[in-house]
Amino acid sequence: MIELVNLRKEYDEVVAVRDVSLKIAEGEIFGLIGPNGAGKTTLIRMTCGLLNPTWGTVRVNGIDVHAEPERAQQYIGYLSDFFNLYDDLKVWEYLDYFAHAYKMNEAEIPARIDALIAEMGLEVKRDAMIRGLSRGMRQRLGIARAIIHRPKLVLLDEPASGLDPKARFELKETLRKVRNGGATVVVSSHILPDLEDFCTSIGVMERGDMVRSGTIQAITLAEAPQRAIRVAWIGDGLAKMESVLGADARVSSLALEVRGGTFRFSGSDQALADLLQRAVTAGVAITSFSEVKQTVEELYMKISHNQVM
Amino acid sequence: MLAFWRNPEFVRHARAELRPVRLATAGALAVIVPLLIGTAVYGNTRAYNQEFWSTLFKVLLGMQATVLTLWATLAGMQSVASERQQRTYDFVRTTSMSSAELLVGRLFGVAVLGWVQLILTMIIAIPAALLGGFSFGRVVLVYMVLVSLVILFTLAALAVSAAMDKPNPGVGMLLLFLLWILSSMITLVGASFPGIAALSPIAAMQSAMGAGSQSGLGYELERATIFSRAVPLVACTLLLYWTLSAWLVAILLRILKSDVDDARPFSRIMAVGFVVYVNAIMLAFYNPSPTTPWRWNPPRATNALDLVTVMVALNLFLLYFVGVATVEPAERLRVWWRKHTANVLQEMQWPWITAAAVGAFVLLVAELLPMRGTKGFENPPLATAALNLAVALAFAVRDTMFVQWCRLTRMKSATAKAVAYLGLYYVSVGIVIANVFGRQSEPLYVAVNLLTPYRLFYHGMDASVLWSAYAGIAIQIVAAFLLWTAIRGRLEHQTRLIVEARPVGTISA
Repeated sequence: MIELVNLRKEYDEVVAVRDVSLKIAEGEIFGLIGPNGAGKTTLIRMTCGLLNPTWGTVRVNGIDVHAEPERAQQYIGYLSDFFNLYDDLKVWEYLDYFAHAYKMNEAEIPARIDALIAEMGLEVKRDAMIRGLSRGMRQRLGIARAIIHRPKLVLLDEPASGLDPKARFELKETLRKVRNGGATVVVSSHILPDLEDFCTSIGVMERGDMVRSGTIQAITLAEAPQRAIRVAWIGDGLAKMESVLGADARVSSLALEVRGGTFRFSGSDQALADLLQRAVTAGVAITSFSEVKQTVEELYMKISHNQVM
Repeated sequence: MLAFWRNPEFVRHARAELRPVRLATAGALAVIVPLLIGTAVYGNTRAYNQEFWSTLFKVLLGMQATVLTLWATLAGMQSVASERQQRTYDFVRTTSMSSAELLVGRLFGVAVLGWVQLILTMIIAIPAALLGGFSFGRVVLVYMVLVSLVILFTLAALAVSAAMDKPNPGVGMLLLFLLWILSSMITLVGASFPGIAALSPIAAMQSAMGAGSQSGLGYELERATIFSRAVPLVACTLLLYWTLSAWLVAILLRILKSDVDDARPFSRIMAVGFVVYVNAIMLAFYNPSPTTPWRWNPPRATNALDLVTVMVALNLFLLYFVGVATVEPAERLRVWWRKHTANVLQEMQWPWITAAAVGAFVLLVAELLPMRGTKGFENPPLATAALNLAVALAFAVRDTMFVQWCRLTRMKSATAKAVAYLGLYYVSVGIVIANVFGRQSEPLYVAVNLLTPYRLFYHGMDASVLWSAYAGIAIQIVAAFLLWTAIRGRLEHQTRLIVEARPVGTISA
């Protein structure tokens, strides 16, 4: 869906984005993370054609964004971090303007506007002037604008900044719906919990470099090949558990107490299931057995050196 | 695209501006204002005769022109720059609308209420004109001039606005000052370039109304000359307004959807084309035998040297304008430098200033040669024209290089500051030379020739100091070379800093 090839942006003596190459497949929700000043916004602005790169190319749906901007824009929806709307328009007029600006089919526009207004929960504000909308409503209207033409790629730069927890939750739900509609979503954020349980892949930027990118699972595996496992049992199972785990060469960092503990395991899911089976067969009354998942935040802290330009 | 009323940009502006309350106010004003003006006019005429209707029309027309031009100019100035500042323009830039669609929508949209006001007042103004004795054709011509003027100023305002990242009231005032200058150009009717007076909307409307010598100004307003043939002044007006509008459209198509930092109003071809266009217009309007008397300056037939002086001086400003307009942004220059050092061919803008000067010289020669043998043109001073154009070119290149060097520094508003420094240089040099050599003409001329292009404005210098004009050209070439060396040094330094800052590391998903 998106292909960035050696993308680079220079300002004076600073390299804002340094030769980034990246491919993001269709249907992904890609989280672009990094500290403020890492180059996330510059990368997104180049990807949507707002900023000319010093070098490199951006292809969206196979179209070079900077060679054929107007054709490429039909596939791109963009929302910036801080933005304003046309306060002197009504909600439906705002969407109608952008629907026409994206050259949507005339007959399709009224139904699409109504559907989006309903989806964003703005029905009661349909005929209201934009200047009277709350921050959350404006954000939802901004997202509605970005997706009105059913883009294949939605680029959102810090979309959750300034939103209250409820509005953030709603934002995640909205973006899931967009993804389920077949779009690829790229979200930049430095508020990492925003991206938790939401992104299918991430890219970590620092000082203009894309230092890591890929699926969360792949990055987790690359950063910590051994999975952390937490186990708990009842009764006198400590000795048996030590015996089962100690016999498996793939187990390390054993830290067991009377009723439970943690260890690291370097095998596959099947090998882990077999290990659990052996512990149960040995007579340990296991009450819980789970992998301690790394949060995006923990992952980021491992990768990042928190460097800005 | 021509159906602007269906253009999304126009529709957006119309929806925002033409709310019922505003429309009702505009309608009320369209009745009240003519009523008040009519009452005032009746106070003079004391009858509803032809003079009453004629005066009512003229006053209404003046108000329509003034209000709509100011309205459209100020709205145009705000249009793009304020949206860039508000960060709504990014969303417009990422739509599928082309620059042309964006331009058409904004051209008529930014002052849509003003246009509606114009149409509403025309409902009274046009019958008043017909009752006042003006033919329908004259009325149509007058409104063609008015609409062309408003479009020209809206385009100019949009072009300025598109080149800024936030509104600047000072620049808006400059544009309005330009309108005042244009209006005052009516005084050029009696000069050697009467067609230039056609830039004045006052002169054009008077001409369109057939005021002629009844204008009370003492000038013949009906006629100008194109290649010495008499044409209606209003024809020159429409020619100038439409061609200048076409240039502004070409500029806007380049910059309207681009980032402010990447916006360059002229391409290489456009830069040369613009110089050729201005030269061609000036030479076409040239009238060697002005006949209309000036109150303070009796008519004098001009000669070839006068023409050369005017045209070369004009080209000095044109070359500066083109040079500054084609200066490269630092980022593009660094890319060019890297490609250049890697032996990848990529042309630069600067050499095209020379092509512009050559184009201007060719046109001047083409104008002068057919005049050879006529009175005052027996011996066209082509050598003087060539030398003076070379002087203009040398100074323009040197100063363009200086502006380019400033663009590579970390100075904020580098171009504006560079132009200010150049102004300071010329003022300082003028004061120093005048104080040091004030009473000694030959050393004064030598110093002037070595350090300034002043000889372009004055053709009474002694032949004995001609060598200093050539020496001045040589000095400017050396200065330009030194500036080029400094530019190269900065490019090398910046490229080294960027390339060596940190090793490149990329991981693909």
